[in-house]
Amino acid sequence: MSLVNYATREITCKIVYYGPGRSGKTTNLQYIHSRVPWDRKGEMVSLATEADRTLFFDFLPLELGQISGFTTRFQLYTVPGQVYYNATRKLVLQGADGVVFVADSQKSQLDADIESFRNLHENLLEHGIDIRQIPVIIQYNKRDLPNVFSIEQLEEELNFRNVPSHPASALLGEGVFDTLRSASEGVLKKLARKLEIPIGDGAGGAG
Amino acid sequence: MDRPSISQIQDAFAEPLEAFVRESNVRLAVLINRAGQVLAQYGFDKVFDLVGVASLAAGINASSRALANQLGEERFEHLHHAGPARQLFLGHFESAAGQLMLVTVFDQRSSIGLVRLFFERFVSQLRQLPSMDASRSAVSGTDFEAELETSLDRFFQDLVSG
Ligand SMILES: Nc1nc2c(ncn2[C@@H]2O[C@H](COP(=O)(O)OP(=O)(O)O)[C@@H](O)[C@H]2O)c(=O)[nH]1
Ligand SMILES: [Mg+2]
Repeated sequence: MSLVNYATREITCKIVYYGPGRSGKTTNLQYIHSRVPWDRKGEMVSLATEADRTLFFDFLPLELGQISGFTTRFQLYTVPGQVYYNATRKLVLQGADGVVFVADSQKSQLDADIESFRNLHENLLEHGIDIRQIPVIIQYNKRDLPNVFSIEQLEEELNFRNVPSHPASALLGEGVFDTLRSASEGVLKKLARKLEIPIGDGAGGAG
Repeated sequence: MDRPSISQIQDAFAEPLEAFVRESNVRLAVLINRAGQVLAQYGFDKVFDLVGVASLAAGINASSRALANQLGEERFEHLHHAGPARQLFLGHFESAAGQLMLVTVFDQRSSIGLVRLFFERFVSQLRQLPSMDASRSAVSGTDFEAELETSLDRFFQDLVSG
């Protein structure tokens, strides 16, 4: 749930980068971290194993600036992709306002992509969230590699809900900000609809 | 307005937190929710240090809780990590605003006993606060959405071209 602090006029939203192991989630955050000026970001925290694999999560706080007088911040998280880390993956997903699903476009990785997408559905459901209630963006990563499926093929396999999607080569930085922008927009638009609820009427509205 | 607004509620967090810091003589204190979002803080002078601590603390709390469940406990006691100079205390509690955590850093001027004592007092004060409803607001969603595109344009333009 996005946190709106009316006293300090701050909005904080949590976006989780999800996907199979080695699809490029950490690389997305590293690129973002390398491009955002220092006064708009905090330290990138990586809880990783020696082999550089995400063990618990990576974390990167960002400040987008002012919207309607509110300082708007994002907390970007990645999850560990390997199947056996499901318990920690579930924990990181807790309280997410939006999800970026980073798929690996390589043909050899399609099964892992599909399995991870299914796992996302399940883990969201365990937190009581239907995937249709939360902004999800798909990123087709590693477009620079030779043995990849076409975007059309990947859309067909993964994007049956027709959510926004972006091709990317995170290692080169391509598509990284398109993806983040799309996710930010999804999350903040959803928040705007909640702000619409008149004062004193806590109920109402879908989701 | 018969129900308090969220700003009044968050103002209400500030006062007990300050009292806790004063009485227990700790250096830093931050009140967070389960997702690691900051509800009130005392003593941090950099926003980003604050959110880093908050996210890591939420991570410890979440994994400690999950570990407890796997071992057949509902939850573990509060967490206490001690270094030679500084110590960290992580206390969790249920409130009208859901599960919250107090994360606090102290040194030899305080002690774990003192921290625990005043933590209990802090919790009982917070329990008296009304429930928090983040969906109510005094901001127009339409204005917010109208400004959204330009704000995002501004932010991302610098990054992509810079
Ligand atoms: N060729 C290529 N390699 C990539 C790309 N994105 C990530 N990688 C590489 O894929 C490997 C796994 O990336 P990482 O970000 O750690 O994956 P994660 O497990 O999803 O966090 C690393 O060696 C990256 O350098 C990309 O767009 N193209
Ligand atoms: Mg990783």
